[in-house]
Amino acid sequence: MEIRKILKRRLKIILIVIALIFSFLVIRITQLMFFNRELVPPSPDPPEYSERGFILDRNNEKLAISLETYSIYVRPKEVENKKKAAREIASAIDEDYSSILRSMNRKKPFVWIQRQIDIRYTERVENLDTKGVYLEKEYRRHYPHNNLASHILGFSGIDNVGLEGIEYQLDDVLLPRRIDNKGIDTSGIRRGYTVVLTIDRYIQEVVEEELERALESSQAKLITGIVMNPNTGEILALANKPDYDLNDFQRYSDERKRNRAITDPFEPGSTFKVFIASILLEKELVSENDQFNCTGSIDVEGAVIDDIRKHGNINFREVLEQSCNVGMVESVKRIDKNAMYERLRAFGFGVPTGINLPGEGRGILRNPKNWSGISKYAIAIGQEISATPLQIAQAASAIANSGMLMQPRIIKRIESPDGSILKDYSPLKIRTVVSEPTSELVLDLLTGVISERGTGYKAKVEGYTIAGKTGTAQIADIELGGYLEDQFYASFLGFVPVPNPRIVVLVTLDRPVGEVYGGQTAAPVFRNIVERISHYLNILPSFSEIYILRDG
Amino acid sequence: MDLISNSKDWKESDDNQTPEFKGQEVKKGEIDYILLSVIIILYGIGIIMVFSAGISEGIKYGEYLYFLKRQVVWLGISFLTLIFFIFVDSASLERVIKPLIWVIIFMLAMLLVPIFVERGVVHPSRRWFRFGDIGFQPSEFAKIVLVLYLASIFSKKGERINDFYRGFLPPFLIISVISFLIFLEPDFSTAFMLFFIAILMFFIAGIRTISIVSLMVVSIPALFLMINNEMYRKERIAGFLNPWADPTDKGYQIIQSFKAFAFGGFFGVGLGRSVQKMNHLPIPHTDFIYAIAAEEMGYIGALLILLVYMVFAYRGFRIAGMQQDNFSFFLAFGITSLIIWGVVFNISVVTGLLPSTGVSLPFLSYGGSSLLANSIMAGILLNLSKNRTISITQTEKLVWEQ
Repeated sequence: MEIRKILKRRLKIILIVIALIFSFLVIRITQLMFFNRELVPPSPDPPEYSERGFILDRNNEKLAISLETYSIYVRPKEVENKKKAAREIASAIDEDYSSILRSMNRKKPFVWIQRQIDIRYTERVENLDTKGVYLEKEYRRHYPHNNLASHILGFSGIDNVGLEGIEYQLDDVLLPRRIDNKGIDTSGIRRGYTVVLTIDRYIQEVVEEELERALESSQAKLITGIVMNPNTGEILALANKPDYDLNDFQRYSDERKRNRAITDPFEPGSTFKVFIASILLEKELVSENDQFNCTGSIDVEGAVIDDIRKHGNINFREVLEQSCNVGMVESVKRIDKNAMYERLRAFGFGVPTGINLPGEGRGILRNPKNWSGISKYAIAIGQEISATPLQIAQAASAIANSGMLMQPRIIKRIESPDGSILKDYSPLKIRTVVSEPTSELVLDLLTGVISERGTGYKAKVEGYTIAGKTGTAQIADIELGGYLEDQFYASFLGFVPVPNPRIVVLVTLDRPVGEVYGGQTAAPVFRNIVERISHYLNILPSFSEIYILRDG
Repeated sequence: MDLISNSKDWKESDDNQTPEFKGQEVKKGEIDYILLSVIIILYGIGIIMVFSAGISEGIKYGEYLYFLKRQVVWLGISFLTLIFFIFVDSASLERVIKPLIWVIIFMLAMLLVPIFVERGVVHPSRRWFRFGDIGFQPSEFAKIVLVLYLASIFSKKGERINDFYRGFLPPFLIISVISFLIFLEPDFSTAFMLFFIAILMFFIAGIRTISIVSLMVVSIPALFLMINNEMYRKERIAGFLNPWADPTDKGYQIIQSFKAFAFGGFFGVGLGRSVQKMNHLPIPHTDFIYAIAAEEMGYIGALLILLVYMVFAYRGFRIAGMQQDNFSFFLAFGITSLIIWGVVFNISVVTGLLPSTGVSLPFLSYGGSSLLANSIMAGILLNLSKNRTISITQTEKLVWEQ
């Protein structure tokens, strides 16, 4: 059995070799896992932040800026005495010691203790000198005007990600991530691009002040105001009240942060007669002197459309001036419903305007094949159709702009941090919706609304010829169907001056209490705004009016 | 378990063994349940790690469970095969060795046909037969056949192994042919592995030390030539000797592997949370799966896996030691060696102790052929574990227990 002995001895040798090798592997693994720490980057670094670009108004006034602040983070593994470190941090930033200690005890490579520390603690924070406690320079978004233009600007969160409004819509422009969407490496850029808005800070401020005042007096749920340059489509001011403080956005409900001037459609009511009248006049189906007999109500297709009062025998000009429903219904009997639909579509109803803001609504303009018998007449008086305030303002601007519909603009241009212009949003014509003579005629007819005879006499601004239209719409009852009683949507649409309007202003009030008519509630707001901004915009009183004033 | 012990086959094979060992009774006992548990644990770790490490690779195939799904199917097949080999008559294996040798040589040669038919065309490695998207790797099975063959040769030849022409040369030629064919695929590491296990078996079979030494002296220049001939082998050696000289290219893989270990720490980053598998460490689901396991399960996990393999080695060699007939002894020894040295080579590569080769980690690495071949071997080993020797008078102690 000698062979068997050799065999046994050799098996033993092999087993010893294997045992040695395994021990050696264990040593090697131990070495790799614990004595090779230089391979491990210290810990993942906190994300790097560059500065978010500014948002400016059209006169380069800063509406959103970034402030340098510190953020504190710790690498828990490096902290020797966690309690002591937590105490030091707590006293430096006046925060709760125990919650800081709790953060420190988390099993993470790094933990934020406090982000974007208030500037008044900067010095104390800079003096912190504890092992494992680090400062990171971060930019904190700041809105110098707090509530101003809150629904337009929106805000960006703690990680400098835009969450609403322009901040959201142009997030990758304001803070280009490493690679922008054109594939250009933008990591070298210290600050993001500057967004220049079409908004004028002064006009915006005036509008917001006046809306705020009206909100208090009318007790309305919501008031919206838009001031637009009809020739360029630029929005000079756009506001909803109530609004919110951009520097404290967390405190407000999402509902309050909605930019309802562009998101929420409403049934416009009589302001819509402006567009119906334009269409009828354009197609020469009606002329300003056509006579109508208003008996206070009218039967159409088995339904009754009421008027506010008996207007008696009136011509079409007076129909608009006094917002006569009967006259309007009579006149739309002359137009084919498909033609009416097609023209309303051309005005932009039922399609989003394409404004560079998130969440735009499209309103409802149903296809004529789904219209009931009464639909055409309901639409003629601005019911059974809905549009956002922006859509109304855009369509109205077309009439003010010789019949040319313009693309509404909120962004004027985008600049690089060094000031060179990257993109200029020049005015964009969309289509001609009515001819120039028609638009001039419509504006002329609408000047009567502001006269003593008209419903919008409260919109009168001394020294100016103004065209406008009031609206008082019933509000659809979402729960029960039909319309709510005693709740109205009041609005005023105005053109300043006539002829050649330089601004179009829309004011809408959702459910004002007490005075409900657009002429009573919205028109005065319009007047106050126009009074305060016309000189600023260099829209001067017409010579004859000044003369009369001096004379009187 | 005892189904087979009543069979005629078994009695025949048992008859010629029992008289050799006086005072002992060879009984078909239970299989080695510890070994079976070890194998099942390895299956489990393997499937978890292929799931985890295969995800980022699978995404490249358009489906993140691509590798897991395949491995699960292969595992099912492999486990059934393992059970089959537990119950098959081990002695009958000896009868199919000769044809198997020719089959495997034929298959290996077939793999190489395209290389010789179209000369001058650059060919990728020819290691697999492909049927659709299922690959079959003959070299994995060549290992088993070779071990069976050597076990059979050595058990018959006994001390004549030291007779150069009649004892040593014939098996040596067979080994050389098979290794050479595999080497031509080219699959240097498998060829080397086969050769290495063969030498180990020669050694254990009692060949003179001088023969082993002279064999090694002859093979070192050959090894050197093989390495020098191929650019990629030279690069791998260079990357191994100093990975930091070219950390982005030649040294890249091993440095990424080092990082996986370093990231792991004591408890690991957690299952499924490896960073290195995400496009940092190439082939995380096959050859470098141990590095990912170390990253995700930490030092504890890495050592536990090693421990499981050590238990495998212990039980495997113990089974070898219990065998009363030489064929079974050599077979158990060869199988255990193949698996354990596979582990040793793989982990040495992953930890940077050996240059990057292509040795997979038995039972853990993704790969159907490898899993199936290892399961066949494990099945045979479990089968042999039933050959328990129950000493009555204890006149001769078992090899292992001395």
